[in-house]
Amino acid sequence: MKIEEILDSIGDKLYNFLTIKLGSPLDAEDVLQEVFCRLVRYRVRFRIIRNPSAYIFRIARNEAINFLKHRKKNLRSYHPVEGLSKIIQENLRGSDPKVLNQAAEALAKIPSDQREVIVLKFFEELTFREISNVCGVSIGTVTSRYRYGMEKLRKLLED
Amino acid sequence: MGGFNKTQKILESLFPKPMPPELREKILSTAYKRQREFLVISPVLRTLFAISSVLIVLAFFCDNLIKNSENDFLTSIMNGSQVSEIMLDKDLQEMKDELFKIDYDQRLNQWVIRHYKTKKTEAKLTGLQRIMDILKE
Repeated sequence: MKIEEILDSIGDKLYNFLTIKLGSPLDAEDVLQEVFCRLVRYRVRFRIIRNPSAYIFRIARNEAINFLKHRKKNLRSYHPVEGLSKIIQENLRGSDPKVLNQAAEALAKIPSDQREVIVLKFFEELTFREISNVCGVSIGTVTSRYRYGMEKLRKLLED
Repeated sequence: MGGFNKTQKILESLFPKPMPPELREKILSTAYKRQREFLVISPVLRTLFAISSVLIVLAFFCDNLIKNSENDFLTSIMNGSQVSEIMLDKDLQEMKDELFKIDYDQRLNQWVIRHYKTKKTEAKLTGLQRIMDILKE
């Protein structure tokens, strides 16, 4: 599988995932570049991976975490995530703008680990098993995060 | 998870937007640039490696051939099949000098046992008498 094919097949999903994870499209671009730089460097290892999609999402997640850690260390240049709901709204498209707005606001309010699972499940279309591989946690943890996140989303959307 | 139907439907109606069009080229160019930086073996170095490995294989092959021919030569000498008159004379002279110090019977036995064991060699010698003559000198 060539790097262009990977980028064409899951590039949009990766960009979306990173934008919501980092809360910034510009940071997502930087991290996505770093992810693909890693992929071209480790292409031999990549050939033997059974599930390339989950593997790449895991690389992207690790890179995003490293990026956030680095940003927190340099507190002078660190700006807390502001207007996450606006970023989520800009990053998604839907037929009803009102529903989109409500969903984006609700997603921004739930904890990040639960939001991550829901984003991977609905927008990046990964299975629970793949999400557990991406996040490095058990399937039980993934499903409980999903359940709690969905419960909070339901309450927020009903209000 | 049965009570989340409405929430699920809302989330399923949303789709991620595609990434900016210029980002694709940017990512690919950066990735390939970085790949070139991390190339351990450049194309020139790769060619040199290929040529040198072919030369090593050739050298190994030639060495084996030379060794085999040397072995064949030595074996044939030991078997007596390539012993020429001159070589035999020279050999005998050398042996004579060396064996002169020890007893006559003993050195004849040692000489015959060491060099001319096989029947073939014995048959090739013009005669044992000739050796005896040389040794007596």
